[in-house]
Amino acid sequence: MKTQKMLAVTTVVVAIIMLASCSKESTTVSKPQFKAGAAISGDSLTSGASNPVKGTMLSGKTFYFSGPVYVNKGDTLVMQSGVKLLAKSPRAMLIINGVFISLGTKQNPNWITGVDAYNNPSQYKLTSYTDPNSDPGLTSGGNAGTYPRQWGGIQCGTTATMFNVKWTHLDFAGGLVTNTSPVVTGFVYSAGNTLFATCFQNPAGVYILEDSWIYGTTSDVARITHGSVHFMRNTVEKVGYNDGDAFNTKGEASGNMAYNLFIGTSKGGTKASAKGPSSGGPFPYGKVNMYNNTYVNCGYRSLDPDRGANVDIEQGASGYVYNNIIVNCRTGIRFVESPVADTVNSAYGNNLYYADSLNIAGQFMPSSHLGKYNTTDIPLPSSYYTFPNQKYWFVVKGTPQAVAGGTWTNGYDATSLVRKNSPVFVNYPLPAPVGTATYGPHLGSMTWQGNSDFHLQSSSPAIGKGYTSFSAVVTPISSITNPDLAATFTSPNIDLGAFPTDGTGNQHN
Amino acid sequence: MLLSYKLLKHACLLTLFLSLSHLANSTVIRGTVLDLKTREPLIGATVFIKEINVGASVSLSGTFKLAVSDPRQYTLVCSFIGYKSLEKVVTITSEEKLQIDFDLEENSNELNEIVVVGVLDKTSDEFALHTEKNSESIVNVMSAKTIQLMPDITVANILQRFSGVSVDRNSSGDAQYAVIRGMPQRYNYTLINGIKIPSPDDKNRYVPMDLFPADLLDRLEVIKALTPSMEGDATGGAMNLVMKDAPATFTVHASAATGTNAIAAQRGFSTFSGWQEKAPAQTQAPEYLATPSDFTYKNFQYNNVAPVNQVYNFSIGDRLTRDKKLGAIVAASYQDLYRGTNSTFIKPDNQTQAPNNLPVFDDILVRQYSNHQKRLGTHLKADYRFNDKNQLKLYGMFVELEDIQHRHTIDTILGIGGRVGFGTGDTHVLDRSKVQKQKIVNVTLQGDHSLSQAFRVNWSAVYSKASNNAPDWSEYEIQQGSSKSDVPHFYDFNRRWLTNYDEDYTGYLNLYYNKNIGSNNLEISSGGLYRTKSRDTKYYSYQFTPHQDSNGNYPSFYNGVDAIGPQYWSGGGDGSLVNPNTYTAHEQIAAAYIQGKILLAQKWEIIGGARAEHTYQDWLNPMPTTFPGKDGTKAYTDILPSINVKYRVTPNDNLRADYFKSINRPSLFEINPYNIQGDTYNEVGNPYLKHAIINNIDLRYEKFTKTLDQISLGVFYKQIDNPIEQLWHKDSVASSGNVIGPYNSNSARNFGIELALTKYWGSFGISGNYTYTNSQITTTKQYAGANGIINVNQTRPLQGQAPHIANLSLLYKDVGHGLSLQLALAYTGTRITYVSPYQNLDYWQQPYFIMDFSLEKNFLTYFSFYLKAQNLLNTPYQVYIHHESSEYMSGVNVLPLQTDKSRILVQREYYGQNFIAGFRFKFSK
Repeated sequence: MKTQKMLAVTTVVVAIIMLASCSKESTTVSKPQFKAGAAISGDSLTSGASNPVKGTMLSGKTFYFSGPVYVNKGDTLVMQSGVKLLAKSPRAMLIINGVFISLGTKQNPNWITGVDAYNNPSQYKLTSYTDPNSDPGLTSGGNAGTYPRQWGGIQCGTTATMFNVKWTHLDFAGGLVTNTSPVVTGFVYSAGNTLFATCFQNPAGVYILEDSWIYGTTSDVARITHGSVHFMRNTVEKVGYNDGDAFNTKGEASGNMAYNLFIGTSKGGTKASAKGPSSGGPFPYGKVNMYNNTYVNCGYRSLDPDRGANVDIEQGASGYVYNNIIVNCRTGIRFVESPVADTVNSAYGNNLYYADSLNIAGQFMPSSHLGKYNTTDIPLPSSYYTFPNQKYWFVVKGTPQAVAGGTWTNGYDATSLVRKNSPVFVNYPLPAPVGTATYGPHLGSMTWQGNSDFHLQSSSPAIGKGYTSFSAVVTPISSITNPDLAATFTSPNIDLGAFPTDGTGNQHN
Repeated sequence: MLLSYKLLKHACLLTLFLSLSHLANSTVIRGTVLDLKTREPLIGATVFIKEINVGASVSLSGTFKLAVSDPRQYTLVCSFIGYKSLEKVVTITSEEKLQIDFDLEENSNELNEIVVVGVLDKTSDEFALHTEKNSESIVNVMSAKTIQLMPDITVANILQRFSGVSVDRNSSGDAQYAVIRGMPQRYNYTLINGIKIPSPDDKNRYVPMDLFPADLLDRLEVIKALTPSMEGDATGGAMNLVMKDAPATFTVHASAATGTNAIAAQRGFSTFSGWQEKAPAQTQAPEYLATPSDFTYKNFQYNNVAPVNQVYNFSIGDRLTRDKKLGAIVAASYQDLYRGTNSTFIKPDNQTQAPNNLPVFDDILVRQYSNHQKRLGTHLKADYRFNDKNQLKLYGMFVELEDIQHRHTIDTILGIGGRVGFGTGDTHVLDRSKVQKQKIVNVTLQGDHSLSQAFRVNWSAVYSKASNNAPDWSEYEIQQGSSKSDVPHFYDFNRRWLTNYDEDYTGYLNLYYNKNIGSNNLEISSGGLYRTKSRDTKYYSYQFTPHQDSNGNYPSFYNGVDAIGPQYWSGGGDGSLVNPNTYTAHEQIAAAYIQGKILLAQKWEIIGGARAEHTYQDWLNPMPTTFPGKDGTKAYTDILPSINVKYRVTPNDNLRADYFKSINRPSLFEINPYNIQGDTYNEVGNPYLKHAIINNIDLRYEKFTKTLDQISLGVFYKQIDNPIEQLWHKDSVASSGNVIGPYNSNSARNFGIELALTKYWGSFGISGNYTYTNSQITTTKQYAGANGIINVNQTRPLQGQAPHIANLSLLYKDVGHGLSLQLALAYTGTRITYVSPYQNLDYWQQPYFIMDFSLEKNFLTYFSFYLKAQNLLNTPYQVYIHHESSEYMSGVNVLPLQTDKSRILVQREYYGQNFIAGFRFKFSK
């Protein structure tokens, strides 16, 4: 292996030198950016159902919106690279009944956020602990409409056929469903609910979210009731005040959630449940592979003590869950026992857990939920838990409890697991500096990425421990062949987490 | 041979008679006392022998018996309230028995009644029976006197005594809706004095029958076959509440009673200190964003009160003017009742588990209901008779039912809660405060004019409004210490306001032409109605979320009841009137009919004709203009023929055959394309819903043997096209997959046999009925198998239809001592209470057997003492899913209360016994 790599590097270096030294002519012809319909003129998008919008926001331009912007069935709205779409009012939102495409690039990402938040990021994107009731990134909905940062997200109706967002910042999306919200019907909301940053519900539709940044939502980042999904290489920070999973699929939605970084979510990071109406989709329903994600400080703001799972496969859903790194999250990987997940079509292993407290270590295998014997998770499950059998799924028995005197009852002994197997990130302190003014009072207090870098140092035990003998769920999204619109699938990696050492994972920072 | 047989028979009778007789040598005077005009017996009338100061009253069997020992001349005086006394002089010689019959004439100021359905208006059992016997179509009638003796105090509870009627119960165990002949409540309508009334329900047309206090009634009728003159949207039956009429003489009735409910008395009865009548959105500017401090928290301050039930009735009536032309009656009934319910509900998940379609459960909900009901009913009836030919009648009614309910719940989370057997679950405590006030107002002005000997016309102008106000529905939830929880804490909660009304303006006009052709009689009538209805429903909802402290912790409460206040919440919102529950709608119905009624040879009575009904409906909801179905209209016309044939085999035997066509209109909510997001299925309205069309056939044989004895046997068959049910189906409007909502299945059929029997032996009586019903409907359901969900067809009975319904009343009525006793038993067989979207997983209510008792004793001429006891056996209401239950008998998913391996118990409720006792005062000049 090593010799092969060295040979390859040498070959490339020689080739570059040769190219540079030769006087051969080199030509690059720029490819036009993807465009649909006419260019959108002016600098604002019209609001209201009677003034629907379609066409293309040309590269590099800034647009404003202040109410519900409608894209009708059959119409397409495109953001070329470097486009900023800034909300002037919390009522601003995108109602997509056709197609929505945002094609940022690594060099020229797109932005959709509040105009004040865009102009004054330091006031809105805090990098030290503050009262959650005054942190602009955390809002319980309600009267948040008075803050000048928020917008109402991208809400896709039942006729929306494609949501395709790449290299785009989606900040401060959410808010409250009120009288004047256009989503009070035809969407997954009822009166008084908080808005998801994005929602999608067409069984025949495609939802692609790639290489994007999501910050400070009121509730879920994505609530998918139907459709094919592709969540790859995104960064998700500060999701939800007391509710909200990051990527939340229901019904028959299936696809992948891979190479994402989650930090400071309210509830889970990646979740799949087949709860919801069947529309006769392919069986098994709700098959979502969750691999090579990194989860940090997630699941603490959930009101439900059992909802802190960061990888969560629920009722009737299935998936392959491998190569994830889970650091100081409220619980580990959860396969739900009742109503039961589709364990026949599910499997997991090769995941690394790290805890700074006994409570968390005691929930690496969340008690009362389903577990299965494996020899690949870190720490090795058999080193701290006596398995009833090695063949079948079982309900993890016992409820670990700290009792007076510091001993444990009823559960497995997790004492030896605390502060073991640090993944050794490039720039993130482990053990976590709990109780400092910057970090905040709890393990769950640190909800932002800031300068942290979750790439792996060479000493990381996560390197080379991955499982690669399975693949992403590629159909039907792989049938999109237009190079601008096609999803980029990254296969499971031999390293764990969202930032494998070969650089093929998450491309942020 | 024959002669000897006759002799023997006579001898036997004689022996029997002599042995019963106290005076071996006396003469027995027997006889009947009948109404001169109607030929109906007058029970309670007295026959008095002036000379020897001996009297007797007319017993249940309609006869009196007197004995005298000396042969001489006697004067018999027969008298009865409301009738002219009659004297007869008889001379007793040596006869050993004598038949003396009296026909009494009413006091002349009694007026002919005008009731739109065209039946006589009287208060007694005999007249009830008379009405059944002489009615144009198939009618069951219960008189005020029967009702008074019933253990029941609401109309809904009385309905369960009728043949072929079963009832749906509310959370306090009282009957609420009637399922007639297996046809669910949507197929039946409610009339007040023959006038259809609207419903205060926010979604449905049918009227909650527990709104009406029983004491207001003169008579309760269940009309099971329609004639052309009746509105065409009853298939099971029409429930006609005939209110008390102005009496012939000055009459006062009053009663007062008190009692309690066994559960409320033993367990304690909890109520709350107050509530917020108006939502912030109703008092503030539009788009006002409410905060937690805009709300009262008194509705979460609970305290126990003594559950002392009180029931009062009063009525006063007279013919007011000297010429007796104006008559009026005012009646009021007030009930203040406390009811306790203990319930366990194992809440199923909306999805099943592959590979065997296993039902899955989410919660075990152990609930204590404290229901405080305040029921008020008042009515005024006045009539003015200009002359023999012209009469005006004014009727006004107001009923109100206020329900104040505290529901305390302990919720053990089963799904996604970490439960692994008993005692391990995540538990939550919930307290819900709910107030609901339903009202119905009806004002009817009627005129009746005889234009000539042959022509008659009558008309009615009616205003009715039903309204419902449910302010401040709130339920808070405390996560109560699962071992995984740091501290008990609040959950998100909602506060909701609902207000709606349904307002009708209706005009009726009927023309009659009557002609005698020899001994035959022909009546041709024609007429119609026009009704314009407005419906309006507004729904407001606020959502609160618990407030974190500055360290990101949630406030903790172990018994948070005292501490709940605005400081712990964030959120609120504008109430969001824009929601699927808010809508307005209108309906115009224009109907006309022509009907012929022929009496042939005193044997045949044939009523036939046709009715045309045109329906126009529109709706508007507050959705954005982009919403498909923001507004819309529907229009349709139906021609409804019917024929009713009655053949009088003898004066006391009827053979009847009826055919009629009826319809069932979707409610105005159902056709409004609402879309309520649900966890598993969205609930959606269906503007393409068709009205159901039903062909009905009845056959009935009735025999009225003695004055009060009756036997009847009937069969019915109903073919229902486009039956409407709340069903799982593929959404046709928004193509958003599968939804639950009103939906037309292809067709259904329903047949049954009804048997009713009444028999009296002197003071003892037995009254019973039995109905067998068999309905079939086939709908698409799901089955979660190893390879995913497949659709299958399943045939089942209609929701609410029980195969066997039986009632039995044992009566003892000693007219002489003024003592009446009744033991009433009602049996309802197993029936579906909820249709599951999944194969074989419907919810089945267990057979329900209820025993009630009542007693009444007269004293001091005008007074009586009475006692009513309901639900003596404290019968549990139990609901099962018929699925093999081993998964839930033991192990990780073990559920409480499971004893039977072949089925899963999902609900069990106890309502406790109810007792009231009090005094009644009746005075009539």
